[in-house]
Amino acid sequence: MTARAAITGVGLVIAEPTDTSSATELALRAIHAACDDAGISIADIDGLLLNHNELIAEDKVTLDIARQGGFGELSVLYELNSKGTTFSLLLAQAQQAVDAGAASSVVVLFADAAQRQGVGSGAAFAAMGGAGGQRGLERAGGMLGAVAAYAFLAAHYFQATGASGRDLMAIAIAQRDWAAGNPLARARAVLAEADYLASPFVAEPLRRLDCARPVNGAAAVLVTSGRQGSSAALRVAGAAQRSAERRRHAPVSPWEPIGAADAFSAALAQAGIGSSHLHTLQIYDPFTVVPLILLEAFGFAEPGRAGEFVRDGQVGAGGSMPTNTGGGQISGYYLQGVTPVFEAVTQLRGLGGDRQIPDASIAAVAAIGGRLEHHSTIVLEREDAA
Amino acid sequence: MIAADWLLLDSAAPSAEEPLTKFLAGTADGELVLPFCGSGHPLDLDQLECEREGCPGGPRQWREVSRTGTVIASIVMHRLEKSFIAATAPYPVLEVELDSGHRLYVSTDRHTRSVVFPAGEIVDIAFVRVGETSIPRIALTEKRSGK
Repeated sequence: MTARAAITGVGLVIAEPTDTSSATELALRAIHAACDDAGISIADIDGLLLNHNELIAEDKVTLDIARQGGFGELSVLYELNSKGTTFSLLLAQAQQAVDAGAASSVVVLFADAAQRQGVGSGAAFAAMGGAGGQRGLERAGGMLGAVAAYAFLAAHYFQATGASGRDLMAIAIAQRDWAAGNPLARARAVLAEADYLASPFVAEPLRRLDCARPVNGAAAVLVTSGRQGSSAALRVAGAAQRSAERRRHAPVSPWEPIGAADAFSAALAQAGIGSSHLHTLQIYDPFTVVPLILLEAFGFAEPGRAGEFVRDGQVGAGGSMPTNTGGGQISGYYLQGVTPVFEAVTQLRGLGGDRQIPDASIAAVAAIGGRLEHHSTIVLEREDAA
Repeated sequence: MIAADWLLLDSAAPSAEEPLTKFLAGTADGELVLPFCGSGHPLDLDQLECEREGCPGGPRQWREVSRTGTVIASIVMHRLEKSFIAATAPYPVLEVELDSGHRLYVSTDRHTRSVVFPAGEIVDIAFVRVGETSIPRIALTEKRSGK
């Protein structure tokens, strides 16, 4: 049993394409799964931190879930948004709330049901930008969907560092190798270079296989005190965020991940470790260019050399920094900030099966948001290893 | 007379509500009208205060700017979203830094098979009609448009 606040229960629901459940229904399934995992009931929960999902116009979970789900009286209830970094950072917020005695069992929740049968992911996300404001004007310029924005980041990254599409391919192949061991991964077959190169461009230089695989689903993480779930308890040992909205005028850099390195080093410093102490790194990777840029920002590779780092096997099994060990969002599944957090939890609990990193006890989760403008890193460690 | 767009359906027209009101009023007259801080630094369309350290700021001003700029990056969109796109072939999108310092994401004013634009290329802005709005596009030279 742990006396301090710790992650003691998790629940993850990945909906099958034929599942027409609403976001709220998926969320409640995830919460019950987390309760079962932690050995508590939903009535024991006295705190709820909801990850705001700004992508969805119609079907979204709201704070009404506290009533819809039959919760009792809550002493902590917030819906928060820091773009793609939210889910990671809410784990730290939940831990602080429990450590401070504001609540004893806080659930962190995210749900997304944006996908519709017969509507492609690209079309669904392209429509979400809307007609208003700067994004509306950019859509009228032909910038449809996040893929266009990240294609520009890739184009700038290539120009600035000499990297190329070959480096994007290296990430796609490395993460597919990891996905082979993840039963939840949407694409598990071995990816050959020829397969990658046959993948059509979506927004050149990004191909279809450079893009994440969105799913409908939900995730719940329970942070409790004085309880022990069925698996090893985990603590957030460090957490930091940095944000710098990318302005559309000179002299602001049009592509660099401003603040990412600071968030990473600050979180590791809080945990009292250096990057060499990490057993695994999980990166929010909606497009293959993101891990390349962040591996360089975090100091694992020189500018423009992350592709070489990946081709050398350094992010793979037995490499110096096993990264996105469930296949990431590219070959695994895209559920916003949930994906990297749940893979870190899986590894630290020793439940990775064929993809398990031996004796993994400390992991970093690096999340991003916007157009590589919002950054967070959290360090998760096993309570029994702290 | 501003010609109808070759690329987008009217469904892709931007809202003329704030913060695009002054910008779209300018494009309707064939002008690029963009915001600056009181010290003359470029601002984003929805930016109210200057971010530059030490800048005294002052009231935001909207001014007509030069329609000449430099390509700083370009991509080619291959996915043609049928609810927004009329074109039937991949089209370029360019990130252009205007001489004023403002950056715009724009496509071309005509179909072109020459979709690759190198960084550093100097370009001029023209306008096309999308729905009730006039949208900036790169003015293609005849050589570039394949004529």
